[in-house]
Amino acid sequence: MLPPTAFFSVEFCLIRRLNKVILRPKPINTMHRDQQYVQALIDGDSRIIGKIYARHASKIKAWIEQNEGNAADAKDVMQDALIAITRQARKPGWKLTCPFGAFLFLVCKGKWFNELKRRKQTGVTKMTLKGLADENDASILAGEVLREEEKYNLFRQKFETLSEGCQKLLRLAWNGRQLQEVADEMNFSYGYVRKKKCECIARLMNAIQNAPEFHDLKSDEEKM
Amino acid sequence: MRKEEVIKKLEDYLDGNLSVAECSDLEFQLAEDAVLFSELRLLKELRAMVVDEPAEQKLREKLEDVYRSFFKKNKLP
Repeated sequence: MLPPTAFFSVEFCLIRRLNKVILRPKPINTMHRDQQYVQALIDGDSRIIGKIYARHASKIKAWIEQNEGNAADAKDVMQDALIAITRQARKPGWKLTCPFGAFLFLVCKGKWFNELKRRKQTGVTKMTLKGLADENDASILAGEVLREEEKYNLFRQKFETLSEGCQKLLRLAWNGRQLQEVADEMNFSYGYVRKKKCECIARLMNAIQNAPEFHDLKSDEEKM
Repeated sequence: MRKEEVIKKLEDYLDGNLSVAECSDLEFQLAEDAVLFSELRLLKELRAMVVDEPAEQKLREKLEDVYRSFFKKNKLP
């Protein structure tokens, strides 16, 4: 226990001051000013999207060309990365907490690693996450985007294995159309459409849940 | 319950077609049953994927336009 005078000593004041300066916790989850670029992607603002290309396209292209790719690969990777980022950013509460350039570059890098592995016909998932092991905001956010992207690709791939009828029915029903309207448009009875919709969804969910990649993604998610 | 019946219930829940009593009964089950909760989560993600399709297509076209005009201006491939 410190004597009462200790609270006024120079050393004590210095320690308190140092504690305040050095040990003050770094603010976390603060929105970065580059959020404007993400917002521009959501809003489809051509002028700011143009700035994204002007600032980052050459660097991404150069890196992909140094890593077994060409200009066309760079274009596709950057476009897919921007779409994946936008998809993630549309989620309620998501915010950018790091510089946009570093974040975009890491997403492109992860996507390109995956593409190279796909071309060489080896697994993809682990490389993406292990390649981005640095615990900084940009790596964490990029890791999330890449994981969500893999999940999205699995959902999309399984959705496309459904019959055209099932795909049409789900598109109509999930876009807010009343089932009676869907039935009229597809020339089916209301009862049939109601039953068919559940069958189509069950088929889709089973296909996803039985895919080995889904279990890998789920266990990666649980580790987070 | 068969998978289709579970899905029917969850779809009715997401569409707001359950009565107050059915709704609170399902919410109680969701809080208790992790498997049912993950089914609901997957269903919500699938619905979002389909609902977002047009916006995503629009963004893809926009990026294509911006890319073309950017590289035309900068004479890059």
